[in-house]
Amino acid sequence: MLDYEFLLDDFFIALSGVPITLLVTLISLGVSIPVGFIFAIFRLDKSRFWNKIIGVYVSFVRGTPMIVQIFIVYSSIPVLLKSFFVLLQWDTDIYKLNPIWYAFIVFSLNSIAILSEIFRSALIAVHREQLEAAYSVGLSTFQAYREIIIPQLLVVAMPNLCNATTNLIKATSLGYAMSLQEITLRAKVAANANYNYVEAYIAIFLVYLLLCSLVEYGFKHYEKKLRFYKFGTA
Amino acid sequence: MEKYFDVAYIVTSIPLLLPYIEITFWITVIAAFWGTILGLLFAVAKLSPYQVLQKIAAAYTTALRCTPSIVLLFMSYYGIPLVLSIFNISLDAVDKSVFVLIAFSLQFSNNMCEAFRTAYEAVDPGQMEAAYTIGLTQLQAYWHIVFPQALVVALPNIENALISLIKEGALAYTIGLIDLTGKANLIIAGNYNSHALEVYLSLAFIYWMISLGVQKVFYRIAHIFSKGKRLLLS
Amino acid sequence: MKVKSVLKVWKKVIGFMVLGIFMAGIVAGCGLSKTADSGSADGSSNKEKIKIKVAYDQSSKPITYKDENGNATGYDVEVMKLVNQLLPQYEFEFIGTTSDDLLLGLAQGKYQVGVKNVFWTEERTKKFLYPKEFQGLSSTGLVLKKEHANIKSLADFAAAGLTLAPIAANNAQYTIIDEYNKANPNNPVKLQAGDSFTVDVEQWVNEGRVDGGVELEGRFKNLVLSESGPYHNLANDLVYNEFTVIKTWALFNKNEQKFADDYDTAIKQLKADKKLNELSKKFYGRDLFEVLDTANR
Repeated sequence: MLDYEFLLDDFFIALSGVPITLLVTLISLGVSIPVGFIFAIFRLDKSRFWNKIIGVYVSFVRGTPMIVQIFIVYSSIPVLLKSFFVLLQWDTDIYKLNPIWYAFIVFSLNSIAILSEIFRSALIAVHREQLEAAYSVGLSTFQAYREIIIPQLLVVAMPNLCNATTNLIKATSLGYAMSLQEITLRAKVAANANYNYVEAYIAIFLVYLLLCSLVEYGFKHYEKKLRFYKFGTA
Repeated sequence: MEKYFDVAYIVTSIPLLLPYIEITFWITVIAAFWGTILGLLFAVAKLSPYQVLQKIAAAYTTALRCTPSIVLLFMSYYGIPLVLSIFNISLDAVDKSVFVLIAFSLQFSNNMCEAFRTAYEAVDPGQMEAAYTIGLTQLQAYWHIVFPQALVVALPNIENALISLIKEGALAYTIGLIDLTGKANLIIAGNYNSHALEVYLSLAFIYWMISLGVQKVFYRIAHIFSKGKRLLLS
Repeated sequence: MKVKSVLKVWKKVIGFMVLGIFMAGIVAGCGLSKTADSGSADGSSNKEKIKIKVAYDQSSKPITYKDENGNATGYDVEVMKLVNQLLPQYEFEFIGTTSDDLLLGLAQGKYQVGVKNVFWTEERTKKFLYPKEFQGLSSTGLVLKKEHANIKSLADFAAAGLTLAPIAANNAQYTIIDEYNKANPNNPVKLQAGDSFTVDVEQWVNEGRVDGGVELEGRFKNLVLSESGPYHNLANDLVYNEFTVIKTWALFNKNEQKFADDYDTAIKQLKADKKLNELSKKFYGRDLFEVLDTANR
């Protein structure tokens, strides 16, 4: 029935895609955490113009399927970037870019929207009074954010950040549509020779199970550490 | 860009896509129905005093939380017939929409299970006692007191689960189901893979409008119930 | 008082929601099966006919595809329809699906035969049954920019160090390139697996995203060369250089030897009657049987 030998082989082939998956995830998070945070602050400050623009962007990303976003970005970004580079008179050949850059762009654009929402609701939870309290003890805005708001914000946002991260890892499985050499595509290409798709998907499932469980465990651990702040300032 | 981009394709593909909202709609509704029932069962299991049930429910939710939809979809579509073929049960005549429904019901049940559990835990246990003291039975207390309040807490999560169900449903194209995304791909194939971007843009637009519609409905429902909440609290 | 009225409201809402969802569940069965794919060959309900499920790739125009009305057509599908006319003891049902599902469903026995411009590959003979007679011919080549028009073969392409558009890994075009690479380890083509829907070969080549892409002549003709083609505006910028003509086959489930034999007699007849030449002209814009002797596989 099942070809267990192939299942085992394919498990390791799928495993070899983990670094790419993690790289895409980390880069996207690295871009979207600061940008999402800034977007969240922009939206709270109620400057109408930015609030509207960012609001439309967030609503579009949250309202459309990931795969459709990938289709759109993958077919439009190269041409857009090219005209952009021509405009700046940069002499870069955009088509020499590794396809992984498309993945960075797609998943960053997506995560920025998701994270800005997470930060926004977390900011609402800690923002106002805390900021005023910080001012009253003589901290500058920057200090207040760094010392008081961000640590608490992280505590509030951590469960959602954990969700967003696992969702992002899962979403990279759609990278096959961009020829991204991640877990799913590698395992599937290996399965094509003998049409062992069932085995391939079991292997892929196991790898994701392992990966996401580890990430969740990591977050839980970190969250415990962070809780210190919550009680520390309460 | 102007060499390929032709707005006419956006406009002409929308009426071709619109009839397929029906398929996407039914997939969503049926998966939501079964997913809600399953989710409720697993939430009850998670909250039950029996260790075995808790463990089973926890394993179930972890596994589903860590599985990308596309992997779940393929495991359902290729795996279920394979497993049943051991018992000489042939599913060859079963329509693919059934496997799509199974996969997305499972996915949805996981989100709903979490929504139910957090909502239940958010209701103050004192409320039950208060209900008993005014002479309500346990069932009455659940129905009149706990359920309405829990629902208000659960609404945003249910909304998110529903929207992500609609979005993830787009992946059904990968096994050849002709829903909105499937039809978009047929249109593109009919144009020999040309002008894909335009078709995907109209597809994204339709999904976006659907999501906004769902949000509107939930906003309304929340509005009705939050009135009740305020009254109950006072 | 107020509390009660609010409770009433929400009980009603819940009631309606539950009722609605139940109704939906009941109606849904009909709704889905009504719209589900069915393209049975003919309406006659002759019970003693042997039912054959013919799977086809629903998005591979002009070889096999669903037209705007949801009907199966394309070169391979039309050939199978003619085969069915010659074999009245069978009743064909055409089922549109994806390439992955076609191959796997065929291996598992969900479908008895599949068509999707199937090339012959060594691996496939282990899982599937090839008939004796091939079904069609496929002119396969490279889409290139005009300035690369001198590149006539995969070897030229590889030697020039050019980049190739990704090909879906279950596509036999992938196998063709892969086999070339294995045979020419010193001069390989850079090969990447991808998804068929996201790669628009002509656009990619024209904008320089890749230097070339594997394409079928019929597709290139309808897309670029034809006056009404969506990319006719690129006709002066792109060229199609055929590097091989390949026989295409109908692929059978392992247990369908008897059916495959019947199929062979029907195909022989169709070839003798020049019916396939007509279809080749109709869908590929060229009678590929004229260059049959150049087909080396």
